[in-house]
Amino acid sequence: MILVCGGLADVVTELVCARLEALGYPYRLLDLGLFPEGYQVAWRWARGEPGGWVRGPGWKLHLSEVSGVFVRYLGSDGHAPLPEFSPAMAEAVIAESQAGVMALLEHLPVLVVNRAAPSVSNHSKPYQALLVRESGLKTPPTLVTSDPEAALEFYQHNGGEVIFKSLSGVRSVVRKMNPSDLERLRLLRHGAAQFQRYLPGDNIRVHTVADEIFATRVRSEAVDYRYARRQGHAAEMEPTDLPDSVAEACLRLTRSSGLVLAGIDLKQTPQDEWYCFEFNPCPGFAYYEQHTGQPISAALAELLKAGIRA
Amino acid sequence: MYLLIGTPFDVCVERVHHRLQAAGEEVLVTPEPLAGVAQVCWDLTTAHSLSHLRLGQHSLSQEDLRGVLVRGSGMPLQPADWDPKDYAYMQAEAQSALLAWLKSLPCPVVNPARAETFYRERTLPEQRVWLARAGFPAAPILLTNSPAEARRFARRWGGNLSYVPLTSATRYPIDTPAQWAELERLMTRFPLGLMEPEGPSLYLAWAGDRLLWSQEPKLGRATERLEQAARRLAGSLGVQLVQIEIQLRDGQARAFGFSLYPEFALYGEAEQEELAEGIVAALKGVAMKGVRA
Repeated sequence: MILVCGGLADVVTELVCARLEALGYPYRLLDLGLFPEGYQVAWRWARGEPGGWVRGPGWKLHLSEVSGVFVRYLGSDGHAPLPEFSPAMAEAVIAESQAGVMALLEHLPVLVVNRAAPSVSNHSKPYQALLVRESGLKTPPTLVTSDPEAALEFYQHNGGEVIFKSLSGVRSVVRKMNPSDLERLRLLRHGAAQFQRYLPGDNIRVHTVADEIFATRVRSEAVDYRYARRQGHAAEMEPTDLPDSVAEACLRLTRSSGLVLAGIDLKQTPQDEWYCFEFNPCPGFAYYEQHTGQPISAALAELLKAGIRA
Repeated sequence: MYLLIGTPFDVCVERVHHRLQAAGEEVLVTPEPLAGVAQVCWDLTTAHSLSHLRLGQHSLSQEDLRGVLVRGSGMPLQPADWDPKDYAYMQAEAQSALLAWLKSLPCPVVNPARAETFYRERTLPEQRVWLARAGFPAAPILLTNSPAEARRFARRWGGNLSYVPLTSATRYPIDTPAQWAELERLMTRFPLGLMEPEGPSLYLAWAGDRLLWSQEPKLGRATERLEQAARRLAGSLGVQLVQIEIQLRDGQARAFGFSLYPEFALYGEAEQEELAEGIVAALKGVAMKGVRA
């Protein structure tokens, strides 16, 4: 039996459930948008391993029956309102409940896509850049600084072809610097920011599902194609192939990071150089699958059905 | 130069600082190495990683740093006039930069910079898994919103247990009908973490290459087994600094949980000095082999 932990309002979780339905693979949904409402659990950690059961609407699942788990944590924003609690108490109840799910899945001795511990690298992009280098992929020339003069020098050294983005996992729109931004460099005294040489070329989004690779070429004039429409541009997507060395490095990066599923952001320059910007341990692959028809969710479903003992 | 990230009020920082200075080493203590008055410049490419830090009067390249002790989060102190949302963003940014910068350093960093320990404190159930796998005797933990399961679980301890929220360090004894009633009321709302009733605690710390007890263990042959398990735990976690809480109940010692930030105040003067010496050894890179189980 497959266990899906996520919210049905989340398009990725919905797609995974739909794929499992279509393939006829039995699964149970632990709806994190509602949990713990409507669920009863008894999870026990003993002798270095968790076990127990969960009871949902009309079903009861012993954890020993689970072959694989797919999880997408939601946080309090993705949870149904809890009007009986004060906002602070509601947040605490949701945090406590999700901490329980997380604690269970960290050591459940089955395939879990993905566990929380290896997923937190997502909170630091330069940390990921170091992991990217170790995997054999190239990382764009980057400056992390709180020194306005150093930032200006980097800007000039790169002929003004520089982008800036957040260091942390807080979602931000990647923007290209323009001369008017130089005025704002003095604000760096409040904390460091990340600057990168702008690289022309096609964005390539790679999804790794265990040993399988799905590469999607994204052609867009937008600096950050995720927001192409907002910036008045289009984003065209198509399946593509990777050079063997790049594909192997992507798999190495996924494995060495302790992940099973990853979304890896690459760029192929006109000089055929391949750079990696970052990787997402909780990728929104539904967007790419819907645009290209690449069978990412099917690969994931097969993996969850087969399962592996962790 | 040795960099100690934390406050001078932390006894650990204070003692390590003192030891290093006594050995003629230069030491810098700061709670926010990449924020506040500090200025960082870190140049990262596929081929190289070069960083430079300006901290007050000090100007340090990464080669100038011989070791870094991390006892704080490195988060910026909150300026009075900042919007809480902006401050939360700046905290996330500063932490992100600090973790990555620590990982990039060629010198020893104690404990090593890893996202999974930097951003996430393991919950007690997870800690028990690590402890059991290292060879510590550890009692089971139950997470449930079923009162019947909770009652059944408590039988082994005469109907008593402790309620331990997973997202806080608080522990609540459950040993009266009123406390059970409150527990069952809470259980209608969300699952609760339940475990053995609390016993007296003692602590075992691993620092670099030495093991110290917070008090004489008086556990006979079990002492050596616990010490071996502590070495294994440090090895499996890949850390030079860890503290295990051991609880005594009915003459049995069981591991309760662990922390990567040993609390110096729990130890005697001589043990604190030993702990500091172990940390200095780790900072100098001479205690790395000791991490292996």
